[in-house]
Parts: sequence; C-alpha cells; structure tokens
Amino acid sequence: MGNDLTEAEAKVYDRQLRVWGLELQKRLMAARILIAGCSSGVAAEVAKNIALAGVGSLSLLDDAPCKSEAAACNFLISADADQAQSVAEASAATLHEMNPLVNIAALPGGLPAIPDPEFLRGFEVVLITSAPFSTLLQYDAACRQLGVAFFTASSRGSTSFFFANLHSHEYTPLETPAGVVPTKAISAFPSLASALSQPWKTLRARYTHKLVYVVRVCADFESHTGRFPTTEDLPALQQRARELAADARAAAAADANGGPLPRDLISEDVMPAGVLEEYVIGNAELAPVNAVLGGVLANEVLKAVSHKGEPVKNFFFFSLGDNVGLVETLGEIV
Amino acid sequence: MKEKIKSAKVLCVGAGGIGCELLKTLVLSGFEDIELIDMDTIETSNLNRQFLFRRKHVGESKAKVAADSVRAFRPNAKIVAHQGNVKESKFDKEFFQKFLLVLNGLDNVEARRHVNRLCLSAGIPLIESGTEGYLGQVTVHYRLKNAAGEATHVTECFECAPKQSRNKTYPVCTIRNTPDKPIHCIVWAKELLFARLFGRPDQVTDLDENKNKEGEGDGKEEGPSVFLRQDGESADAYAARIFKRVFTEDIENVLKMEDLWKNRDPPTPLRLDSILGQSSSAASDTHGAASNGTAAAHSNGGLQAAGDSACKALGLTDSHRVWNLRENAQVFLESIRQFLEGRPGEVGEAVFDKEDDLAVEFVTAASNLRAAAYGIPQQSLFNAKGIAGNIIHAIATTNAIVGGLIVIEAMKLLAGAPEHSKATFILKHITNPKMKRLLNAVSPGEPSPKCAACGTARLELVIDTHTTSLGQLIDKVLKKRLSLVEPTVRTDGGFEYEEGEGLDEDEVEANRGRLPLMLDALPGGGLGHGMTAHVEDQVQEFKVAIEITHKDDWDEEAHPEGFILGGSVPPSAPTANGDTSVAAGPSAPAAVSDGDDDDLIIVEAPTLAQQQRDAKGKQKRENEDEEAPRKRQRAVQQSDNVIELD
Repeated sequence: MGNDLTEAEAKVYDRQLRVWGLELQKRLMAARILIAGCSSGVAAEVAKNIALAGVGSLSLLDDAPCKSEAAACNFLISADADQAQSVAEASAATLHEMNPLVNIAALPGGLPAIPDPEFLRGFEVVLITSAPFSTLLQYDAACRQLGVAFFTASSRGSTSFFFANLHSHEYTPLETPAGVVPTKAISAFPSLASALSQPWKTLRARYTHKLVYVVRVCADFESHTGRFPTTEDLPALQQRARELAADARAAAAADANGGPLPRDLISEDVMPAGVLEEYVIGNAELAPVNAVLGGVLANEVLKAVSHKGEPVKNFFFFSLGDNVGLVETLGEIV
Repeated sequence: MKEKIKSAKVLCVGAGGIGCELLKTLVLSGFEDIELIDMDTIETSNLNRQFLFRRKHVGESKAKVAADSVRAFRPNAKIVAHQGNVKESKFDKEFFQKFLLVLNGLDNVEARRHVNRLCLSAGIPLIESGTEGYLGQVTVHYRLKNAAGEATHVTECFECAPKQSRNKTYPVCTIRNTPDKPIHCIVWAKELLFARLFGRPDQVTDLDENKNKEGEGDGKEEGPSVFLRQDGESADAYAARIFKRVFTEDIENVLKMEDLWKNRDPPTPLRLDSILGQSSSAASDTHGAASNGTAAAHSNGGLQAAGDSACKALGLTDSHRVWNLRENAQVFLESIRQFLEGRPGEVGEAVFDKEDDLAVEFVTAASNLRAAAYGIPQQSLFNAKGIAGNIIHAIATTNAIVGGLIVIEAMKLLAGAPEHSKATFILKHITNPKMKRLLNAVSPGEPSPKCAACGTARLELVIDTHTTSLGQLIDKVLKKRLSLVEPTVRTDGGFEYEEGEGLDEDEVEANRGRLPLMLDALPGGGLGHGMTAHVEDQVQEFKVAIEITHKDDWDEEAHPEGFILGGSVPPSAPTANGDTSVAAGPSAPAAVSDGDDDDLIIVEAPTLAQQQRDAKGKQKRENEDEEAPRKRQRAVQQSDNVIELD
C-alpha cells in the first residue's frame, strides 16, 4: 500500500503513527463502528478514544434527551447543548469538533429491541452499553451470525467490566522481535450466552475476580426479567448466588476425578458483603473508573478492527481500590 | 466525601496528554478548585490525544485552552490556568502549600524532580504519572503526619528510586569516523553538519575539530569558513561543494586512518556525478519529478515557496518510503539550495527544529547519504524525523487510563485512606498468565535512606581541597551536578556561606568574598579531608551532607571535572523535555512520560585520541559520565566531547 494519508491526517496522527504504524492507521481509517447507549460515561470515554484514533466512521445511537440524569457522566455533552438534542446528537457534535477527520453520525432513534441484521451488517464493531443482559444476549447472537465484533461495558460505582466477543479473530502480535516475520494467530471467542453459563464449579475461587459471580447473578436476573435489578431485588439475587454456589459444591463433591482443591471450592457467600449491593445500587458512575475502563476497552476495539495485538478474551474487570485490571476467560467455544 | 472532593484545592502540573485527561476526570469526579500550570502552546501533533484542544487553538496556551474547554461541560469548576514554567520562583513553597494535593502530568525528569522537592518541602502529597505508547504508570509520594507531627504514612519520594534516562550517549569518534547505526548518522547530520552549515558560524562543532585536535588527515589548518558559502558562489555550486567535501573527501580522509578499518568494513566515498547520473529506471525511483538533479527541482519548484520543502519540490510525497541514493542526493542539494535562497536570513542563525520540514529533510538526506557510504540501513523521512526529534510515542487511551488512576489515588488520599494507596502500572499485554493482569497495582515503595532528596543521604565528594575554591565547589558540584538553585554551605567548624533572597547587601558582599577561598582554608578549620559540608537549598528545601575526601594528583583525562561525587546522587542528566523514568515496582514497565515537545539525546564520550591513549581512563570516564548532569546548551556547543541532540 502507498501512503494514503492526507497531509492533515499525517500531521494530526503523527504521534500515534509512531506507536502503531501506517498500516494499522489505515485499517483504523476504514473501520465502521457503532456505539449504542452512549449516555454512559464509559461510552463517552470509548467514543472519545476511538474518534481520536481516527477510525473511519463512528455512529452513535441514543435518543435519550441530552440533559437527562443518566447522561451526567457524558462529558461530550456541552453545557450549552440544545435541550432538544438527543445524547447521540450532542455527543456527535463534540466528537466532530474533536476530530473532524472522522465521519461522526448521530443515528435517529434508540436501540431496537430486536436486532436488525441489515443494520448491524454496516459495522465491523458494535458496542452496547446501558442495556440489560436480555438485550445484550440477543445482540451478541445476532453479531455472531454476521461476524460483527460485539462489546458491552458496564461501570457502576467502584466496579466495572467489559465483555468482548470477536468470534474467530485473526491477529498478529503487537510486537515481534526484529527480523522475525510476525505469524498470524487465531483467537476463538465463546458466545455471551456460553460465557454467562460457565458452571461455577469450574472456577478457581481463589483466583477468580469477585465480579464474575456478581455479573452472573445479575445476568440471570436481567435475562429472565428483561430489566436491571433494583434494591428490592437484592434478596432474590443473593438467593440465586447461594443456589449457584450450592450447586457448584455439590457438583464438585460428585466429581469422580477428585474435584477441585478445598481452597478452590466455592463458598456459600461467594461474593464479599457489599460487592453485589454496590453493583446493583451503585448506578452512579465514577468518572475515574470510566476513564480506566474506557481506555482499556478502546484499545480492544482498535485491536478488533486492526487485527494487531492479542485481544482480551473475554471479560475485563476493574475496580477502584485495588486498581487491578484483570482478564477472565469464561465460556466454552462451540 | 463529595464535599471533601468539591472543596479540595488541587494543583495539576502539565496540561498535555496526561493533563487533559486528568483535568476532565477531576471535574467529572466533582473537583471544583483546580489550578493548572503549563508553559507550552498547542501544536497540531497534540490533537490526536489532547482532546480538549481543537485545530483553531494551535498556537494558544495549553493551560488556558484546557481550562476553557473543561468549563464547556462543567461550568461550575473553578480552574485557574497559569501559562508558565513550574520552576519559576513564583511557584514556590508558599504557592504549593495552598494545595491539598499535587498531581503531575509532566514530560521531563527535571521538572518532576523540582516538583518532588517542592512537595517534600511543602509537605504536600504528590501523585506522579507517565506514559509512553501503551505503557503507563501512576505512583504516589507522601509523608503524612498526625496532629502531633509524627509521621504516620510515608512512601518513597520520586527521587528515591533511580530513574533511567531515555537519553543515550554516543562516542564522538563513532559519530565522526566510525558510525554503524542509523542514529549515529542522524546525530552527525543534525548536530554536526546542520549546525555547521546553517547554525551560528562561531559555534564550534566536532566536524571541523577533527583534524586540528587529532592531527589526523592532511593536517592542513582550516577554519569553519570552508563550510560557508563563498562570495559569488551559487547556491547549487555551494551545495555540490559541500556534498563533495563531506561525502567524498572526508570519507577518503577517514579511510586513510587505517587502524580504524582493521576490524570493520571501510566506508565508500560517494561521488555526486555518478549518483545523479544513475539511471532513473531504478525500481524504487517511481517519482517522475525526480528526473534530473536539481534542475528538475528548480522547474518543478517554481510553484513552491522556496525554503518550504525540498520534498514537495521534488515530488517525494511518501514520507514512509525510504529514498534511493539519487533521491537522497537530490533532497540534500535541494534543501541546501532552498535554505540559502529561500531563507537567507536564517543561515548562520538556524537551530534544528523537528517541526521545520526543510531542516528535517536535510537531516534525513544527509544522514542517509552518510549511511549509504558506511553501509548502514537508511531511514524514511518519517522515521528520521522521529529519531532526530526524539519524539515520544503517544496515544490517547494510555493517557486516559493514567488520568483515571491519578484521580483514584487522589480520592483515596482525600478519603483519609492512604493505606490503600497503590502504584499502578499499565501493561502492554498479560505477562503472567496466572495473574491475568493488564493493570497491575502494588503498594508504594519505602523511602530510600540513600535518597538525596528525602533521605538522610550522605554524599562522598573526592576533590582537591588545596586547589578547589568554594566558588568552584558551588558552581561545579552543587549547581551543575546536584541541580541546586541557591545553595547554602555550612561546615562543622561553624563556617557558613549563603545565597538567595533575604540577605542584606553587606551579607551578600561578605558571602561573595568567601568564594575565592580554597576549601581547606575556609574559616573554622576548613573543609578538608574527612570533614563534612552541610549543603542546603532553601527554595527546594533540599538538604544533604557531603563528606569530603581530599585527593591531589588528578588525571585530567580520566576526571575532566576534577571531582568524583559518590554515594547516593540524584540520577543523571535532568536536562530536557521527554526524559523518561523507570518506575520502581515488580512489573514496572519501562519508563514513561507523554512528552509532546522536543527532547534530547546526550552524546558524550572521549575523543578518539583519548581513547587510543588511555583505554583504561576511557572506561572510568564513561562510567562517571553516566552520572554527570549536563546542562542543556541549545545555542552554543562548547564542549568538544559532548554532543547533544535536541
């Protein structure tokens, strides 16, 4: 390939070209990305990061009014934005100013309850935030059919995670030793449904992030009810956690091959006090958590379209406090 | 907690890559009382990550625009923007004491060290950060006290752990005679040739000292005038003459130094006529404009403003393609011609600037021609610019993550939970499959007792106390080497020397009168062998005890500075933007800082003659040089064995 960058592009992207090179930049510039549910602060962070990186087109989908409470953490909405604008419109206006070289579009309407394959087909990557798992599961399945990379992210209180499904993803390593021709590798991703039904008996409790259990319990709830849990639902969620833990212990005890070591056994209160509560009640996003999660997630979106760098498979967790950002691989590849 | 955050007065140092992200995350987290310092103005190459800036802001103050942009989404945030250098005296201890926390988003070690000392002196916790490419880190530094004044929580300070400088050193003789890497050629093109042709004529570069100093070559005495354009000489003739001089004759001369080529491949002199006469059907020569030397450039470049770009004139639009030999020669000639004809006022004044296209083109072509002569791989314009400008690689995502981590640490401190403080490192990929971590966090390091900034470090100074005056001690050791601004020196015998504001005129006079005294003859028993100098800088509240060891009989070759400073010394060469530092910690990524600005490489080593005379001395000198801070000398390069690339 020749040098297709315009002079303006070369000047603005100079510093990142020195990080990831011209070929990768050109792949980014051909990428079409959808972010649906962009009220959240984490969506705003990702949108900013990938718009700065210079993707080809970035489409936003969120018809909530831009001055709504839910969009309080979206810094892309200017204080003097027209109240009549949607979150998508107000965010797109700022993103366009931030990087006029990217084709930014605010799409009309909200996320359809039933995925429309014709619509999704127009993107290489779809990121959905602020939707219950009932919706996410449908979109993950639809994207899988189309081969469109699917991400979802959630940041509540001090805890946060994102999920990635790149299906069968071919990539070259981020860096190879000088003189070595990079070899392609394939990373196969489980579906969201499979990831969410990973039996707890297979998890090594000592090394597993506590949010794995929280997300599972909430996902079960959301996929049954089609809505987010509230404070009133906490007892039911805790009950569900105890059931899953009991099942896991029973399954481990029945395991003919000796089963897991005692220290890896799931305890009854698998989730430390407060973690579930904070996740369920803590609707308030914390900006620094969004910044961290949005930064790591944007890197993954860029990896998905550039096919460069080993991707995170398939959950990433970050909580304020311990500052550890941890990758968990859940689910079976079918 | 919300109230605490709202009322907390915090200082952000730096409004660049990290600073923009930090400022945004601070105000989104509820911080409303922020002061921001940055001396820089906005450049186009900032816009890929410094998201508070727009194209229309290029040239404006980063601090001011960042503050304005943040008010666009958080109008109630009070942000005071200072366009200035954090090292200015107005940002003193009293200024720092206004704040509950200091948050650094800096791009050079020198400023970081200064802020660290001020934070130590003002007793304000410091949150430090740095990024480079995918790597980043956030560390916390404080000594918290209870009401009774006892230290309750203490971490290492920024200077406790040694920092590795990104700056590299190259022996002058390698640059001048035996380059074997692209960087050697770029240093030569930029520091020696560019400075010689376009810089100040009185500026001595190693290019013309070659023969005189070492008695090599034909031994003919010649001044720098050989590199100046002669009366009546056309720009084209001058360019061709310079080509012949540096790529033909100088290479032929260096070939005569037979010792050099016993164990390495000798270079091949280049001949301009044969290069330009090469068939243009060479596979890589795909650009029609590059057809017939500068003649084509002239006709082609008629539309171009001369002095703007040789590449444009020659139709070389792909900055990622490595030029062939012929194209390099054409760019070399054309860039000289454009410099002379398009920017005559700058000739004799020019300083290399990585944003100056023509200068970068000249350096690329010159270094590639030299590389061709020596059989060294050549570089694209893009790569050569990166190397010559020492450009830091930077992306938005890493800065965003680091900005978030800084605010997290700030919130922990405000919540009164310093026991939860972490040093956090962003990794490029999972390094330990069992730990599965992309962000790794560890407890802050312990203070080092050997730290000269915060510890009870004792330095050891070996010096000739009979022949070294107090003034020399202060200039060479305390100011140059230890980065003190206004030092005070006390001896156990009661002698005192002071500098700085607040002294009467007669006190200043009295102090000045002490400067010529030799160390061992200072009043109160002197500062001789085995004695201790108690040294202090009141602005930085930097304090250190220096034990003196007397030594006469110095080998000037081995120790040109005339002293050896040992013990725990602040690490080397805090001299320019873009220095980087390696943080401590089990999985610390290599060091990091998002600099946007020009940076430097310090090049220093013994001359060839010295090397040949005293191999052992060379070894010692190099070891010592690694620790020797060198002040940046932008305009005038005086030392003959130091080449700075900036």
